[in-house]
Amino acid sequence: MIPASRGREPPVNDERAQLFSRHRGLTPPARLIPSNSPDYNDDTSAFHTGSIIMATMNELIESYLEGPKLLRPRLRA
Amino acid sequence: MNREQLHARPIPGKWSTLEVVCHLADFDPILADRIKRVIAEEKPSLVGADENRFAAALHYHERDVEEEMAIIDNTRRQLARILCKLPAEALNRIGVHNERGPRTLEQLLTGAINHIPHHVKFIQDKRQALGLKS
Repeated sequence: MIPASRGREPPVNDERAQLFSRHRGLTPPARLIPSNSPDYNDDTSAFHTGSIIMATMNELIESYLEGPKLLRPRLRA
Repeated sequence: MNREQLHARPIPGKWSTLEVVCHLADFDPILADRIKRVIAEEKPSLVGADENRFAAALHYHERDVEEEMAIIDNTRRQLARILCKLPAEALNRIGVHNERGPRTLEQLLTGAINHIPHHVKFIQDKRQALGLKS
């Protein structure tokens, strides 16, 4: 799921770098400036709205890549 | 899960696990396409898709779960490679969905992120109903 942290500088650590390196050489972008987009609350469905939780681009990409890892274990007997 | 378990619909009125995986594999590229259009075009039109029509017409129970998972994996790796190169400001770019109106890149990406967790919950329910460990 998405960490609620846009607006603060993402922690730079080895764990993050390792996560990206595990995904076929993806390189995390350099420090990103938090965007100033407003909160969104224009839909009753958190799934379709994308939710009001803010995250950095790095965190969004990490969460996006984590999706299949959530799914695969549920397909095992 | 074996074929029988993947095809089972243990909760009345709900999809089988294979149907859920096929749904995810069909919609991951659609969601990625919308994101790509918002990155590449100026306020592109984004067209909705009816998940129930897809499930009814696209032979979900004839499909292979590993092929479906490969589509999801590859779609996400490719798009992540693109997203890595974008500045944070790109999250404010907008497309116009024909049913939901204006959507920012951030909203579209967050929706794509939430899609699998949203459906994993339902797969867990099916596993429980089938007596599989969760």
